[in-house]
Amino acid sequence: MRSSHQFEEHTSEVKVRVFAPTLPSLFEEACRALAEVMTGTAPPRASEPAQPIEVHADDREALLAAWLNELIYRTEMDGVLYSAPQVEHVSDTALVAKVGAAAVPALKTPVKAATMHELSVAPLEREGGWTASVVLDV
Amino acid sequence: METIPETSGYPASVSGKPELVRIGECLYEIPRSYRSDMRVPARVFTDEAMLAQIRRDHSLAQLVNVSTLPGLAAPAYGMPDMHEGYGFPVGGVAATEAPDGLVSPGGIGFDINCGVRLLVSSLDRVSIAPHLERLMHELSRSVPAGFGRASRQLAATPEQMDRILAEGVPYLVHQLGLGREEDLEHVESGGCLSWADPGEVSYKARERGHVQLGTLGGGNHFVEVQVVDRIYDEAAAEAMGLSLERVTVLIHTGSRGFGHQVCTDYLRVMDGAMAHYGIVLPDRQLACAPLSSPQGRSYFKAMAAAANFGFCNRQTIGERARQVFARCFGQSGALELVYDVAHNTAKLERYGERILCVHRKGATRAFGPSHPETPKAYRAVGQPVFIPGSMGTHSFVLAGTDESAELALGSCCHGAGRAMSRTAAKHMVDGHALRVKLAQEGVVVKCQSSQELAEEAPVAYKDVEKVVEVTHRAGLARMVARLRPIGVLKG
Repeated sequence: MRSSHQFEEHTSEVKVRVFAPTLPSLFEEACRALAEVMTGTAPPRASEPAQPIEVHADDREALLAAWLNELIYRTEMDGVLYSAPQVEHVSDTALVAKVGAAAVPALKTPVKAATMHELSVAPLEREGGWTASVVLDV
Repeated sequence: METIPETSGYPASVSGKPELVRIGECLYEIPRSYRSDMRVPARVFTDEAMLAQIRRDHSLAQLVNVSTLPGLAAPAYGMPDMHEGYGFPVGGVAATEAPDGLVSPGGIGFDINCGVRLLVSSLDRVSIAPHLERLMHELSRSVPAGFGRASRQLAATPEQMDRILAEGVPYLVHQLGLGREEDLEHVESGGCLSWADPGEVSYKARERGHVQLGTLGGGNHFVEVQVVDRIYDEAAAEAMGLSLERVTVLIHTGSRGFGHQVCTDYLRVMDGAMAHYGIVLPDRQLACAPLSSPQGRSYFKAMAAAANFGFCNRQTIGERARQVFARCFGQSGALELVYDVAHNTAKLERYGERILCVHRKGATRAFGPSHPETPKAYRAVGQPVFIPGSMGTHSFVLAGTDESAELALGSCCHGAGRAMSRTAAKHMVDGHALRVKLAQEGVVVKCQSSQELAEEAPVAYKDVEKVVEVTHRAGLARMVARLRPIGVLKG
């Protein structure tokens, strides 16, 4: 299985579904999906040095929201697009990563936050691998 | 510590669409019997045609989910522009009883105190027309729009941030010279929620916010230059200084990254605290805690700080607009503040003997003439309410009614409400062609991305005129005037 993501219909927000062979690659793919929402196209190649990011949460689903919210925060503060993640460690409650960023002149869609509405992270029983779903407030 | 013991366990899933019972001309109810975990009925202000639109998404199921919150003091209300959100539907109102009722960050949303401010000039359409290009150009230079365009030059010092968060608009007017004394009477709550505490706000929120005062942000936020093109209620329009052909400025934005971070931070706090209070909910985004709990108290104070930041943001943008009008038109370009009203907040309000915490998510406070918080200038007509249309379409001015207190806790709609997803709009609308069409209609649009323009195209929204008509017919607010945009600065 290759990592992939798709955008599902939602009247006012953006619903993202992510597939990946492993849990670390699932979180990496979620980062790339977020970057794509922000730029409106495939994000440009990372040009900025990778920054260490560490997040903690009470469970796997909350960890996904915390990870995306940290990326949203950093993108807004640093004015660059965090689009090239390398997840070094992920458990149910902690994630350690290095994330490269791309310089972009402007972002198409500002994302306010990753919500906890219909948030899910689950193994795919039949196919193997993992899937996640998250609604972004845009 | 108050705990809330009564929970019904995980609710039965919703199968099929909820059945609605018509209980008024424009009022429908989903009775408590619909789902075992409902604690109050869910009521929707709508008509048959708009109900068909509402049924197309998940907003009714979301309203039913809201009705499961423990300790609700009134039905969960859906406004005529209701559409699917996350957790709460957009266009939702829910009230709990103080001091121990719940407060839910999701019932307010990430854009705390998103709202609308209307200013009116003494200029008319004809006198402004030759200067419109220059006016819009100057506005676009004065009001940073879009994501990540905050200006370091506008950065507030830590001390200024503390006072903005604690004192709101009065601080801007009295200490920073941003505005006039008479503005204060014409901002909801005088531009300051007094229980705000900057100490409850995270470093991250401050870091995001201190460079964003006076910025528009993205999405559906905008500054529009408009003309009054229709009057429905002469007396109310006159009280608000509105007459046919008169030029107005409408500002729609909120508390920017500051508010987003406050909501993000506290959603997490509430999510972690729910088990302690024995609260089980069908949607994690509804996370909440009692107002009297440490978590609830902290959030309520931080939310108020974000609301004050939102009021200050619109005040600052309003001042920029005043400066631009003065540069373009001299003294004749003076702008008077009609009113500034929020549509994403929770506030403590008195209803009879009860103090309720009224959550309004995509719903506007609409107090009637006799409410003590209605400004003196509007005591004969009701508090002004502004309903921004989708980009390039009409916006509406309404006035709150006394009966809205009984009907929907002094609330009404907040906008057109999306009818179509951004993806669908993008596929259906050619942004460049839309730009050309708007230009042909005489609307000057300042928006860099044609794709973004397409996502906010009028076709993606409900017909704001119908939303406003239903609001009027339902008695939630009265139609006063219609505003036609001639210049759009898009966020």
